[in-house]
Amino acid sequence: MTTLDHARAKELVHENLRGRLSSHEAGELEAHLASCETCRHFDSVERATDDVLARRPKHAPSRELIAKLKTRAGEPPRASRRRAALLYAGIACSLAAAAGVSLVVRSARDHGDPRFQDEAVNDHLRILYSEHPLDIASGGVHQVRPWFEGKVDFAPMDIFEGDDELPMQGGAVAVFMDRKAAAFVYKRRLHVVSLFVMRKEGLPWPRSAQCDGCTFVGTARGFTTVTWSEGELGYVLVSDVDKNELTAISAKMIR
Amino acid sequence: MAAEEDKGLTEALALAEPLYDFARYLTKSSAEAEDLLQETFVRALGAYDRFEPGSNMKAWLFRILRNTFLDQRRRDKKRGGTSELAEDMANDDELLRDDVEIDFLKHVVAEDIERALMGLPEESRLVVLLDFEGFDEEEIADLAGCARGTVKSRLSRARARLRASLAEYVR
Ligand SMILES: [Zn+2]
Repeated sequence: MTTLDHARAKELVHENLRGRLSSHEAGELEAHLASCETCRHFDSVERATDDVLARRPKHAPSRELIAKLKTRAGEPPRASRRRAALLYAGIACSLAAAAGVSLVVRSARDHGDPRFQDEAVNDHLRILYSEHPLDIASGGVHQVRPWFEGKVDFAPMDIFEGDDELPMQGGAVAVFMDRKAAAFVYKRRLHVVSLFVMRKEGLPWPRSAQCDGCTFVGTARGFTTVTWSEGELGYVLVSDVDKNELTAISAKMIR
Repeated sequence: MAAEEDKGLTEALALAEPLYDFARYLTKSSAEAEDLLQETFVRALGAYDRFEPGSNMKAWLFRILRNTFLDQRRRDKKRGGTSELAEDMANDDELLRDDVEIDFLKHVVAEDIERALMGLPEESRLVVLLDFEGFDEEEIADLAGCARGTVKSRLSRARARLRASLAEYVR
């Protein structure tokens, strides 16, 4: 004799397949199935249906899509890029505040121009995801720097040549908003660190990074950026290492 | 970057595959599924400070995806796009008979399974997939926007319809 009626047993069959029965219920079901052919068949039908569902084609997101999601570049096609960027910036700030992280930014209102941060991250992503990210592999800064001659309209001087903790990987010409920039690429453990050097005149440079030696530290779409300037040249450092680490790295690079 | 934000994104990314797969079966199109997943992530990260730590992240993300899908479809409707008609809950009691044949199910191929799933009315497809993802009755009711009491019968009918479609393909 079992204590379950057929209707209840059938309910339990499905819950059993989902692993949601207590051991007592599972015991009751087992006893009912042992003595009831109808419910046993129902159990087989349910199992066969699950087996079919398990064999359905699984659609996996493309690598590009995952990369976009990873970098918060995932933006609704009908929403504006600016809105998405602001949204991300907003989250980063509110979460930082909630976590008690002090923001390095001098002025609370200076979040920089979102387009500027966005462009820095985009350029970094182009280096990360392009098949041939570097136009020139590094044989040291003395090989990389002269390579830019004639390719950009300024001389990227006093570029950090890399060290054991941050070896230089090479360089490439990047486009930053309306102009060419020299990109120097370094590696920090498994993280890529990009330094973009360009003429800063006419760009929406962060206010707190206008003066020589001043830096602006920002986050955009999960990346940290450190921005500074020296004379007429502007420098933007981008990576997914954390804010403190990137600030420490930038300290090696700023004269 | 704030550690909290990082954590939210990491958890969400771990669910990107089931979310995309669900989106793909919901929209029946890879382009729409991509849009849907991207907007879902934007919304989820935007609302992450309202996510209660310790509650079910997967259910939360699936709900955002589902709502995003409905919003997108409402917009498309306004533009004159078509949408599936409400489910025809016609008399399919015949499908729910106890002595249904199942041996053929072992031999159905993946393409037929997909075709049969895509051929289900949207509500049916939804409950079948959500149930298979491991959501319980209450969560399915919430995610599919139907009364809790109707989940069980919708689910059995939907699974029965799926078997019936597959039976037609192999016949
Ligand atoms: Zn029985």
